[in-house]
Amino acid sequence: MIGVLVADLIKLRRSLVLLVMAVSPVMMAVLGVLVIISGNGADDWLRTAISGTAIWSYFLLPMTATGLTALLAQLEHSTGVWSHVLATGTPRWQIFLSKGLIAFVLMGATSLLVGLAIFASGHIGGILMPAEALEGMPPYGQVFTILLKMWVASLLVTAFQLAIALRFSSFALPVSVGIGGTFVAVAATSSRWGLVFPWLMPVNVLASEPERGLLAMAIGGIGGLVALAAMIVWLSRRDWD
Amino acid sequence: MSDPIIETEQLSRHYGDLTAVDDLSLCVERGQIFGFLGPNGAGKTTTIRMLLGLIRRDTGTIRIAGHDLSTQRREALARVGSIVETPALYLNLTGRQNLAVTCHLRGIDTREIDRVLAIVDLEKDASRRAGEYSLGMRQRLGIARALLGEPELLILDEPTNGLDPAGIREIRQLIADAPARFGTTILVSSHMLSEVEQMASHVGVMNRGRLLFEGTLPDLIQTAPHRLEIRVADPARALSLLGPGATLSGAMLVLPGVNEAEAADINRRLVEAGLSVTGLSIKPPALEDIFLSLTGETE
Repeated sequence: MIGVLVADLIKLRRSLVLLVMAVSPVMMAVLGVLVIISGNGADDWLRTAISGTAIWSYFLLPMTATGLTALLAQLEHSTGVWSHVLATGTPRWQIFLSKGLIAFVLMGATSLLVGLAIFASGHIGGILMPAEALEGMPPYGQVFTILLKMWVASLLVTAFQLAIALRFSSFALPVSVGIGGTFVAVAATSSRWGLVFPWLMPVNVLASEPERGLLAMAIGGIGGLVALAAMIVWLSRRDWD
Repeated sequence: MSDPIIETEQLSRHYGDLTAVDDLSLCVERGQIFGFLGPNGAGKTTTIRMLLGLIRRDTGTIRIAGHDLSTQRREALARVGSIVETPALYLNLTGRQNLAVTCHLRGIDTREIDRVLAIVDLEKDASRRAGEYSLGMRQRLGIARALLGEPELLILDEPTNGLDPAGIREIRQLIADAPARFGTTILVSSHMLSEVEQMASHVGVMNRGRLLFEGTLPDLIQTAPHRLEIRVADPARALSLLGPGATLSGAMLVLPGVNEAEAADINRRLVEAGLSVTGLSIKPPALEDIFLSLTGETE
């Protein structure tokens, strides 16, 4: 299994997957700095940082999950390498489990970078425009805890996107599903279906009712692991023409 | 003593109403270069995909190096290197990194990489991205990757597809030398008889999912009748004398399905009719004609 993971990590070199990981943190940093120097944002660290996590969970997180999993799968689809990988005799469950673990870890790493970008933008904004410097202490612990919860809640949507991306060789299909899910999530926020809609799980972490946040982590986290297991069984049993 | 590396029994695969492979029983012995012949759509690639465990079979069994593919998939495929259709590579990675991926997947020592790069003469280009490789170089890297771990069996599906003549010759030579150099058995599929003829010791001919012939090339030639070619002074008169079985091919008279005794009799009849026979030979049929006749692609 370790060999399969190492092989998957080698495949990431000079790939667009790493670029997609960098997009959201860079966007968060630039956006954060612009908001602070414009003087139109909140004037304290806590509200500014929480706003950053909201933007991440609503829009950038599901889009990152979509792009990252689609590109991860395209590493194999684009040149038809599946035939080679699956003919090596490596157990199929290991091949697909490795893809899932890599996707989860990359999403976690991106979440960490987003957290760093949120705080970097606060500091840079204050340096560029001292009059608009954020008040109070940077809430490092609070923000990284929220990002960790969002990451747990995002496992379901990540596993779901990965399953579609691995099953179908088309790049457009998983991307369309991801974009569709993200926009439907906006409309579904206040609906009762919003509690179980996979693309809304990370957003629900920010809900004012604590039980809604816990439910999001339970459904997103446990659901993500169940979805990953289902994906492994599904993909391992199918023919690879 | 028989020592098969590939054994299939009554292998079948259907796609809806289409029978891609029909009751295929195949036996490839160790040390052979087995040419898997057939026109496009004959079922060669479907068979290869079943041998590599990429697609399921509807019926039948597959054993590779004595291991049942259903119950001992890992052991069976651990002994196989393969190229299916195109040499699929990670174009963002260098040649060396592509090989490293396979080493890690198969649990092979990465020191193997230098050995296989030397075999295909790609050491100098090993640090270049595979995306910058020519088709011939990609094919050579694909073969290097298939040779990792010194497999007992190489399965190569149309390995010269899309290559220029120099590339075809290079790959053909690599394949032809492989059994002697590495002790590897090779199953190579092709729709081109001329290609297989130059490297295979044994052939299997497939069409419409069925195996029509399996054996050596001389055996294949034996399956078709020989023909008698006669050079004679007055071919038109000789033609009328020998009847409808004879045909004129240039200045030669050609009679199919003639053995030595019959040839002597024909010669005597021509001479007695006052025709001087200047040349007479029994020739085997052209391999291409046999192939076309077997696969039903004759006019």
